[in-house]
Amino acid sequence: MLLSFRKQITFSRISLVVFLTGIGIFMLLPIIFLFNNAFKPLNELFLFPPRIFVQHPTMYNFEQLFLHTSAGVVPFTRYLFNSVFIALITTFSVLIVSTMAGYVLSKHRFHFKAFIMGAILIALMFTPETVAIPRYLIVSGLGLKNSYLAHILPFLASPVAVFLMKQFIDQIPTPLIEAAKLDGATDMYIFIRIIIPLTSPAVATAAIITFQTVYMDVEGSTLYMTKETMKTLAYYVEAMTLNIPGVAQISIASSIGLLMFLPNLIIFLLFQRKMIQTMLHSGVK
Amino acid sequence: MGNVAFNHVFKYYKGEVDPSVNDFHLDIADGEFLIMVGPSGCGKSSTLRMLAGLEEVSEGDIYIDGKLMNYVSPKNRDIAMVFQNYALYPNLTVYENMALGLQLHKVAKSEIELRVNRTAKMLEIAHFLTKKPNQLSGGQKQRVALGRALVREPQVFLMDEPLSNLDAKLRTQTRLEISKLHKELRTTMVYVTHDQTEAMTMGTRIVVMKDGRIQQVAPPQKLYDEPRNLFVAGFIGTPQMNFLHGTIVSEDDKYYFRSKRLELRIPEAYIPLINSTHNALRNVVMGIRPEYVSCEAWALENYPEWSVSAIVHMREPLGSNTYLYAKLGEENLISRAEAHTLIEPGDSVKFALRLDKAHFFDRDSGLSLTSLGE
Repeated sequence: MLLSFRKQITFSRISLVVFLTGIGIFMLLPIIFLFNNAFKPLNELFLFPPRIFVQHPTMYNFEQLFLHTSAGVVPFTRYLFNSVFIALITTFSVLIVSTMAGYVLSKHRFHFKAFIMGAILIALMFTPETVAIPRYLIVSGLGLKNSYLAHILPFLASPVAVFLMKQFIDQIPTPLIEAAKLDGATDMYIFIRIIIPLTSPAVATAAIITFQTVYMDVEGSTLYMTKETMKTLAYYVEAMTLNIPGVAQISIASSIGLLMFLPNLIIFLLFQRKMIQTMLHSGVK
Repeated sequence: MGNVAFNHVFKYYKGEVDPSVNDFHLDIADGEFLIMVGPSGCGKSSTLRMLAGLEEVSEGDIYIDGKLMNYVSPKNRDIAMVFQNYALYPNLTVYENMALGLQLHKVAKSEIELRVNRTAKMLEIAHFLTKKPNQLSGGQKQRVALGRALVREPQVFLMDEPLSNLDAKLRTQTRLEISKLHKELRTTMVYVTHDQTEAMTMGTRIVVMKDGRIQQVAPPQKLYDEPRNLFVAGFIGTPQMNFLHGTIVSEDDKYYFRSKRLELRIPEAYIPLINSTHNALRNVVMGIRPEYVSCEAWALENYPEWSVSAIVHMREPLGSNTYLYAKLGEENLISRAEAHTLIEPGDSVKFALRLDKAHFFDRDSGLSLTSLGE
């Protein structure tokens, strides 16, 4: 009886592990494909049926990429600088805004709190495309076109980040903050010394989400930027993969795909442990 | 120094019609160990939080050391609070936890070190000053939380159910330690609990609250001996006081407590008291503590006129003595018997009710007719 019971458990465990491993590999496939594709020679890129793994790795695709970028009006590094600069500044600012807003929304009592929370929730439901036109009108009305602010400001009030922070800070017991108040701490002190250290997993998550969104964004460059020097790498990549004719397009696309992916991967690897903690604790799944 | 005064304090929460704290009026002397006790939702925590400055006072005034505190921020009230769930900063070490309040009050570094180390030694937490709170057990955390309050050397200590997260043994131990601390420090302490044992053992004075109102304020023994109303009588003491419903009748200048099954003569000493609280002949509840319901021979011999028969339906041995749960018609009767009593469930037993130790309450108002506690 006991034996059969134990057998059952091992069987279900094994099938679970096999099942999850299968799913894991399946989800890894695009990434494996991306890495292999970047190093495939042309004949392998056009192979049918396509292969996942590269047979004869080559740097040809990267050569093509740099050849094309060096022929452009604006150097490749300018796009890279724009992207990195914008992504870093935006991520940093979003974190400041969202942690502060989250703290106030979670632990303070004030008028119209429910209304503000409701507005944030509603804002969560809009896709960026639906607000593209009003956003454009605001940016151009403020005279921000062709400036870094036009890249940064639209992302600053991120409802996702604020909501995430609020949910996470909700779990910090209120007596902790009350104890600090009795100890004589100011709100700013409580925020920096107590709230921020305790919300570091959520901060990491918000950092990853924001960085990815901003880094991959092309809307800012397409809508608000007329000067080529103010556009971002994501825009450049898109433009290039769409506009370059012939076989070079596929070649460049495969190499640039990897290049675009790397910063995301690095950011994720840096913060992943904290991020998984957030997923486990905050009910955001 | 650390005297506290509540002047007709009310607390209304948003969206609630009835006040959570209703006309709380009390003076707490310097050095007193005041305990606020009551069932959950009786307003005791709200009162404490108003004193701490964590809640606004809706109406009335609170004074600490003679100074009006209503609009003073918590940090300037010179108080320290111990919370139920410890509320230790998880990202700081024990030392940093204890030192934080002093740092924020700009105490010199050498002084902080001195005070933290001295307190740590007193509470026997010196050997884990460098640990983080999540490495500590519940009891240790509670000590640290106490220590954090102690190093501040405030005028008033506030404690909000500090022992309710500890297990039974640790709770008894910590209870004694807090009492000892109070004896040493002689600082005013206001302590909130729902546990009447804690209240009885620790306090110099107890405030019993219910539905936001003070029911009675008295030293522990007086509270036990002279409960002012039915609620206090039932709330203080385990097992609960026995309540028997009946009427008071007079025959030939003698007064009797009469119910369906009983007719017991009321001792002479009570009669003027019962008479003085206007109409004498009325519906009453007689309250009698289990220790004054006895089935022992000497009691039955001495008080034959107060003996009743009841059927025991349960026995609860506690080691030191045994409680017998009996049925007297529809009403329950609990008696404290000696530990090795031979009485078994199902037995019909004669009990002597010590009416000379009983309390009489008005059935409608619940107020005591026999004890005139404040």
